Amino acid sequence: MIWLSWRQQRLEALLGAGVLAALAALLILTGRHIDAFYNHAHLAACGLGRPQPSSCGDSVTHFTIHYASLVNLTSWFNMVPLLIGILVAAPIVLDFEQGTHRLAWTQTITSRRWLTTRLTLAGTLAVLAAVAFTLVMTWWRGPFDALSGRFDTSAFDFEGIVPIAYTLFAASVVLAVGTILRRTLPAVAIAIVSFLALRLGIEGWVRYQHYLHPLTRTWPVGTTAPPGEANGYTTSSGLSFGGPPGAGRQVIHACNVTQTDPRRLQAISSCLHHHHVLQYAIYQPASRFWTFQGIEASIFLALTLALVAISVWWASHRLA
Amino acid sequence: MSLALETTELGKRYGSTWALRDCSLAIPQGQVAALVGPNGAGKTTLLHLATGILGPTRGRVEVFGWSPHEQPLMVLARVGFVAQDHPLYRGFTVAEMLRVGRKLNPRWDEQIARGRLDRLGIGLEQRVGKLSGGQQAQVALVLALAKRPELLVLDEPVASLDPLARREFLQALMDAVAEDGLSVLLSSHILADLERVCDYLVILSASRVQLAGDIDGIVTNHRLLTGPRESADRVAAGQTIVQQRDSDRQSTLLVAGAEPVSDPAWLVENTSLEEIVLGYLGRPASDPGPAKRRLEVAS
Repeated sequence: MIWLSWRQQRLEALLGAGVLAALAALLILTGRHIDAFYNHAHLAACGLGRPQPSSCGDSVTHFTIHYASLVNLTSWFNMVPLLIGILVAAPIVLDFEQGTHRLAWTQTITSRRWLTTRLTLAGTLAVLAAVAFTLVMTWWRGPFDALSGRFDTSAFDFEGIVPIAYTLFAASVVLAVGTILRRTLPAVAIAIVSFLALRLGIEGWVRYQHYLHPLTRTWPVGTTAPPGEANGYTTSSGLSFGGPPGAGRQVIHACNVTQTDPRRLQAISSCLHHHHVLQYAIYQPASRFWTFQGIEASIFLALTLALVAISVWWASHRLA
Repeated sequence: MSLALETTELGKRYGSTWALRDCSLAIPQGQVAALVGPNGAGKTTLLHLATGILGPTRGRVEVFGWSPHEQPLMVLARVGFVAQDHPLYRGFTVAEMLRVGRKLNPRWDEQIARGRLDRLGIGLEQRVGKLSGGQQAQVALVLALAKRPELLVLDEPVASLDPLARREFLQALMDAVAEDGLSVLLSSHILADLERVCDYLVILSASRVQLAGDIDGIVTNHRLLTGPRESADRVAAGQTIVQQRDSDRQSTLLVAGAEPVSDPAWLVENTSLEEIVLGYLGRPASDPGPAKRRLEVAS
């Protein structure tokens, strides 16, 4: 049964391995470039939680801007867990579409064992591929993470354990929809739509806002932010005027903030300071990284389990 | 006489519609039984229940005394199944298909498989998807036979084949029956060849069994009565009518049983199996509406 499962999964597995290898080659090539730049500019001294030499500000900015477009491109890699999920689950759905499950289920083997073996193999392949992808991405992002942490979406989505959960979730959508419809292409289409909807929905409106209550810190305008749990994820920031409603407008008027002459920045800053205006930031501290990884992975894994349960029930009670 | 297949008030429901209901059958071992009925009559559902792919909603089905769905391992090794459109892994070579059979069946007989393929001229390195429809059906039959089953179940095995391939397939089937003495249950909506191939007939229509029995007995037990229309009701009163067809002046009655006909104006003839089957299938069903529509999906 293991041989048969592998034989039916082989083509898609090799295809997936090929795509992953190409991506890895791309990442290793650019990653070496990034590492060279990072070392040459002595950016290791500018990492988080270190006393910062004065030269750091400019070099970090230069480095960040230099690779900004490349980092932006990696947002396309959010599709990789989806692709892996589709590739491991589609062969099983194809069996239902072509009716070949009837051939397998009437050999001297129970449908339960057939399902168990195929799901185990598909799940194992999915986890292996997701882990490989995560390891390469984490290595690639090393220099960026050292400078700006790993709580932002451009790091969080590719590191830790969430890529594995995303991959298994994508596979389970294909499996569940495909088992019910017995059609591979519609199952893949529905999986793509629901995967993107859920991922973007959680990322945009749930993860940073609701997993844990965000923290707030304030400091007077014109001073540097207090050291603390920086470099998490800031959901919003701005000026806090205090006092009765309308106080802010008076201060802005008094300090003539609306006049945007760069030479006046210093003056505006001291004026605001004089009026006891505070800067504030609402943020999720970096120390919550693994907690958030755990919460997000749990959500996707719980959905995965539910979808697999539905598929198994449908396959053993409704599918013939 | 021991039974290959026995069903007792067997029923399968999808949602609110019955794909099969009140099906009670007993098919003796060593018989070649045909399951006949229009598309959507519940034939496929019955065969899936018999192979354990489906579990019944109501009633019981037993193969050699075991429930295929609840005790699959007691049944699966003894049953060979060729599903509708003889599904095979299209990307596999024939040799790989044999490997599937070998790996998944403890009673697998590689010699039977290779011998049959050799005689059919189907090469082991050929890709299944590249074979003709007739050859694919033959490969599916070889896979089922090499399990050395005691009961072979075939769902519309020849429906998609051209006449030549159909004859070759049935020939291969008959050879296997003659060699191994296995029991066969096959479904078909094609009546030709059945009389030559089968011993036992089950007529299924509108999810119910209309008639089941030994083919010789069925043919002996049915007669065609032809006579003037005005006396049709009087003659029919003493008979078990399967079907009545009236033209302007003449009536034709298909009747079961051997009740004598006293009216000399009436002609009594023996009839063919095909005529009998069509007579049963042509009868108005009790509730053909929603059930039938649903069955198209279910089968």
